[in-house]
Order: sequence, then structure tokens, then C-alpha cells
Amino acid sequence: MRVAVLPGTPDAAPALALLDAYATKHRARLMLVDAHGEHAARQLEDGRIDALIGHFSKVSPWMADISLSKAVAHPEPDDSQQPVLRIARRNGENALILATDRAVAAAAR
Amino acid sequence: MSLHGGIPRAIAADVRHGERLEYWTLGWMASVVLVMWLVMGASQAMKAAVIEDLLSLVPAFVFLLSVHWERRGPNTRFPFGYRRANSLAFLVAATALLSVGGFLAYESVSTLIRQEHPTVGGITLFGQTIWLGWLMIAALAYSVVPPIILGRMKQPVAERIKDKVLHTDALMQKADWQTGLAGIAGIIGIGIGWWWADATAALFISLSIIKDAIGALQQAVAELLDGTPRALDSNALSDDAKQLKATLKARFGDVEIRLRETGRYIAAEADCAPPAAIPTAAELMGDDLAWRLASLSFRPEPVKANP
Repeated sequence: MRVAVLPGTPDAAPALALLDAYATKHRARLMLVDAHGEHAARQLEDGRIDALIGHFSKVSPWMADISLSKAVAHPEPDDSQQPVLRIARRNGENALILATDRAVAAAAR
Repeated sequence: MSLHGGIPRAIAADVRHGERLEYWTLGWMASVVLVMWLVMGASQAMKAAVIEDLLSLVPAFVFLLSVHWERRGPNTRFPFGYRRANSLAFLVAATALLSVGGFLAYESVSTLIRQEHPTVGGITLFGQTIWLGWLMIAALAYSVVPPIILGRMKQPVAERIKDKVLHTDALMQKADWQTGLAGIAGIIGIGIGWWWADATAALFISLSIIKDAIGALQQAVAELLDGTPRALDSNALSDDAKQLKATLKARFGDVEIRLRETGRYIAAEADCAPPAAIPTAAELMGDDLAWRLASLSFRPEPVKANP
């Protein structure tokens, strides 16, 4: 499972742990891929990576092109413009999206 | 009721029934729009379904408006009354139906061309994260029920009061429940990984809606251009108009007879001198449909048009 962490995401560990658990459950392993900025989002859209970890706001301009999870390891901020740690998934990857949504919600509980 | 305004007593109860059905339609469909909006998430297909449901309110709204105007009597500014409001409402309703079909076709084709993979994630309710698709299916199932019931109830009323707006609204309700079922098939398709299922089902349904809408639009334009009255469900001449023409010819000989429709009413014109005893509407149309004949004019010296 190819995962990229955006630069400037020092708190990516909880999201990585969550994706690692998902990969292990499906007998896969996590492979970190280098990706930066817009290029990373394009790689995700094209299916060259499976998930992207970074700080995104709830109203990110990328929202239409990729599927963002709820805030990971943080409560959802009141200000929708404030970027927080989230996992971005490729649109249409519904099994991964649902599984990570469930895991994020379980971690929040 | 005057010659150019008001609802004839023979159909007053049915028209009121039609109005009640349209009020129910506005209420139920508003609740459908609300439920769909609550669960649509980021799904483009659900957004399209909400827009389609909003557009589907147009025929019900214009029917109520046209009946309201039909009840008004003629005045100095509108000496022939407002009965043609029904013809105008019919054009608006047919255009709304065409817009729904066109919008659905555009959405489906663009989804298939761009190979958009719809995203349906999870939603946390009462501490449990469930697949949003289940809520969408429940909302779509709810959206199917009112149009099936109301559409079926409207058809016989539309036939009795010869109301093409109400008939078009029944077609719109058919479009609503069909797109609802296509939406359910589409969400199930997304669940099993068939991203194209939703758009393909919607495309086939949009073609059927467009076919109905074009038929309705042809009738609406014919009515506004003073064409011979058309049947409720096709562009063919209506049976009662053909019957009236035959009856008038039998009475007045082989003279030119012209019929046109103003809303639900027929106006007849015969190129001959007025007879000593003018036949009543009941004699020409029969007791049940006598209300349909709003006027009968005689033109002893037809004016030749300039070539």
C-alpha cells in the first residue's frame, strides 16, 4: 500500500498507524513514497499512491478531487478553514474510504 | 362562471381534487428534497437527484398558479380572461420536464466520459460509523413512494378535466420514481465496485424522460399556435375535437370548421351564416363534455388572406 506524507506533517504518526493496521489486516504492507504539494494530490488522483497524509482544512480546494477523512487524533476544529491532520484517499476507493472513516471514528472514541 | 373566466360547475370538484393533489405533491416532494439533501454527502449523483427533484416541483406549482388565474373573470386589460394561463403553464411544465431529462442525460454522459468514480464513504451516527450508501438507498426509497402514488392519482383527474399540465406533472412523477430506482441501482453498483452503473441506468431513463418531454412540448406549442385540440397523452388530434368537427359538418354542411384550444376549453369557428337556432354545447359535445366548448362563432364571409 503506497502512502505519501506531505512535508510539514510532524504529527503524521497516528494516521500512519491507522493505515498500517488497515494494510496488515489485508495482508499488505505500507510503503512510504516521496511526494510534494500539488504533485502529491495528482499522484493520488491518478492512483499512483493509495493515501496521502497531511494537514488539510475541511473546505480544502482539493475536496472535490480527493476524499478527505475527518480530523485524525484531533477533534474537528470549529473553524472549517483551519488545517488539521487528515488522510486523503482517492475518489471511488470506497472500501478504503469506509474502513479509514471507521478507524478514525473508533480512534476518536 | 362567465364565458371567459371561472371553472365550469361540471368539473369544479375534480379541479379542486387536482389542486389538493398538487398541494400534497409540493409537501411530499419538499420533504423528499430535504431528506436527499441531508444524506447527499459529496456524491454528485445524489446532488443531481436533488436538483432533479427541485425541478420536478415546477409543474405542480404552475398548475396551481394557472387554476388560480383561470378562476379570475375577464377585465379591461384581459377581456378574454385568463384561461390561456393553462396553455402557458403547460409550456412551462413541458420545458421543466425536458430540463430534467436533459440535465440527467448531461450528468450521465459526462460521468461516463470522465470515468468519474463516485465516492460514498462512512457517516458516524449514534457512535456507529456506517456506509453512507445505506442512508442514500433509504432516502431514495422514500423518494420513490410519493411520486408513484400521486402520479397514479393524478392521471384519471387530468383525463376528466382535460388538463395537460396535470398530465405532464404525472409524467414528471414517473420521471421522479424512475430516477429514484436508478439511483438505488447506482448506489448498489458503487457498493460492489461498478462505478458506471449509476450513470448508465440514469442515461437510459433520461432518454425516456426526453421522449415524453418532447411530445409534451410539441402539444404545448401546438396549443399556443391555435392548433386543433390535441389528445392528452399524444400529439394526435383529440377524439372530442374530431367528434365536434364531424357534428358541426353534419349540421352546417361541408363548410370550413376550425377548432382551437384555450387551456382546457375548445373554441369553434364555422365559415357559414349563423343558423336560426344555435345548437347548445350539450347538443354538440354531449352532456359530459358540454363544458369543454367555450365558444362557437360563425363567419358568413370568410376573408381571403393576402398571398
